[in-house]
Amino acid sequence: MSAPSYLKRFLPLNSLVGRFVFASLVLLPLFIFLSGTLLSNAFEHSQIKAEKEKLQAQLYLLLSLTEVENENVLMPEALTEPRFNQQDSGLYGFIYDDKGKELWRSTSARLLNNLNFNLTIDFEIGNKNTSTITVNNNQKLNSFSYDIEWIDEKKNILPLRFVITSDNKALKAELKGYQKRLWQWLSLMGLLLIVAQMLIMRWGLQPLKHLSTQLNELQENEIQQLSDDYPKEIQPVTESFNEILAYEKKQRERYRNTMSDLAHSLKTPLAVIQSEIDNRIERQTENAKQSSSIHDQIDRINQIISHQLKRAVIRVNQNTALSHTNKISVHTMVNRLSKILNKVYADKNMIFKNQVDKEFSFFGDEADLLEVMGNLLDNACKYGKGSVTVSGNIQQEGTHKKGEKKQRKKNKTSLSICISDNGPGIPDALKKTLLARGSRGDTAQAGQGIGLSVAVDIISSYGGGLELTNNALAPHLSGACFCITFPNMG
Amino acid sequence: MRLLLVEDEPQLRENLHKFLSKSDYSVDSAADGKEGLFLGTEHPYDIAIIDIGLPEINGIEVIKRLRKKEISFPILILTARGNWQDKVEGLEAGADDYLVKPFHNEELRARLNALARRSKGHASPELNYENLIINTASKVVSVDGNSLTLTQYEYNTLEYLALNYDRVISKTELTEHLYDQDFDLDSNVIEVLIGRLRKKIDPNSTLKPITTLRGQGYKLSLQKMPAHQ
Repeated sequence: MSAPSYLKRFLPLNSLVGRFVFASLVLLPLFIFLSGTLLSNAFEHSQIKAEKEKLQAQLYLLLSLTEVENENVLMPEALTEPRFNQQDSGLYGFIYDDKGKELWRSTSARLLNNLNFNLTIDFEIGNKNTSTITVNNNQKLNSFSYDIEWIDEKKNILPLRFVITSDNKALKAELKGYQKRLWQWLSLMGLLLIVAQMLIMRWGLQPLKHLSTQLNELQENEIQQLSDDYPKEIQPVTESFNEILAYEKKQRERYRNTMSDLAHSLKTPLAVIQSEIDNRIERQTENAKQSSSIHDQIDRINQIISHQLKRAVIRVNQNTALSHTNKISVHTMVNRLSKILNKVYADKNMIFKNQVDKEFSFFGDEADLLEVMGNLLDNACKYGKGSVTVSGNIQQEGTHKKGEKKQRKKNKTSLSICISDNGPGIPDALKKTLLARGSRGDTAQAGQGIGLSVAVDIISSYGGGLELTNNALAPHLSGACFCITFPNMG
Repeated sequence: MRLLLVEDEPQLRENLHKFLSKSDYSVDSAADGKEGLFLGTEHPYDIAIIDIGLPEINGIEVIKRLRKKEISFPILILTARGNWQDKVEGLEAGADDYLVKPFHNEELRARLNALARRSKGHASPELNYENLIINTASKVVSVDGNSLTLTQYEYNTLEYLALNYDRVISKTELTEHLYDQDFDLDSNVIEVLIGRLRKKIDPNSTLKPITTLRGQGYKLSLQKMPAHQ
């Protein structure tokens, strides 16, 4: 699901971690605020309820100490609750009659004035009422009243209202303290939760990071398939990916084999025709001129088939998303080819100088390097005078553009391989034609095979280039010097 | 010179058989790898042409097995694909040269001549023995600059003796290398050939180019000279 473009511009929503952090930063404070408010309210309510119960308990205490004689309320000088006896203690007791006349007040309430205790509440036997009253300078007190009928010994009925008030300063302080601690702890928990979530996310996303690294390694050809140690949620993806890779490799091999079969089935009949004509010419049953023209046409067909089949195979490799490639030692490859070319060109007593560093590697399809090097070395043997020098060089490539494959840690290098011979060299006029990519084999001039054109196509499929230079690397040789450059090697 | 041809395509095999026979080779043909391997193991060929794509046993495997048995005659591989992987595989298996299909008969002949010559340690197609010169490419023999007219078998006998000038060649060996497997061996034929060669090369019996070693065979007695550049 994609986020709106304006969000993308300001927020790191193109990363899973960014999305999680963003969601956490939005949702967690909201969650913490709601939880804090809920807890604070619940605590306040419980405190108020406890206060009310306390006042009620004090009222019952007062009731137990009250005595009435001749309609006069008699109270002991000192009450059992010390706060009633201490001035401005915060706990005050009052007794009123049903008309609102004060009959008694506790020692603690002696200095209280401007009582606005709401006596407008109708006196009603058994009625318990809770309210807040204001005394002195807007000092708020919680009050609890209880209306009763007192029957003395003489059976006189005296209506009395007992009022207990208490200062809510302590309650407020308690609430404030609680809220302060509550918010501090909630904030700390929120922070810890975000940190924990980030660590969990990092741990949870580790397999994806591993997958990304492995995909890079796959591209770099350091591994051939993804490992099987992924969590079960990712396992189906990696397994499918491996299956696709295996299938794709199999398909490519099948395609190559089909191409080979096609080459074989087309070229063998051509070989038959060619040998038939050759035999007829020898038997002089064929017009030599006509035969020559048939020969030319056979050569053309042969070149077209070879060229197009090779191009098709190159295209297959090129179109592969993740082509299976190997790390191939160029030095070893040159030695292999030198050995077999020494056999083929035994008459020339070839001298091969392999100056390629043993550490230099080509990352790609072995068959491709074999085709390129085989063609170029074969040409050097064919047109040279017995001496071939192969040199190699590695160069660091320019830094990547911003954002381009940041995850690749290695510096990219390009590999140059130069093949020089001591033959007559190549005329300037022919150089461009020779190196033109995709030049058609059927338009080749006499003596020019399709080898070089295929080599150019293969090199191009790797994003590389082939140059014809003036033997700068081997000035003692006068012949042609072909320099191949392969980028992204190592 | 005795040649083994292993090619599965009947028409091409037949054409090559005809062409090579005309080019003075004694040709034995095989249509698959199994037969080719059998012939190559059983008979002393001087050279072989083996197609890579063969039924039963592929060409590369045939070459590997022949080399494993220390059979060292030069082998030319025929390949339809023409890619370097095939060429390298074939040459590394033990082949000595390759030819990509389709090819001209003349090119095949030239490659075979070069291979045969090289296998006997001769760098140049021109073999020079005192006043006798044998050009293995053009198959022309001259004495003191005068060309000789030799029959196919006479030439083949002389070329074989010249290529193996440092050894005594028995009649049996000569017969095996001059004729294909269907030839009915008759020792008199070789004696007649040697006799005719002696007369043509040395009509005055002054050179004595071929020595007979009783009970052993024949040897070219002329001194090998460096080839003309």
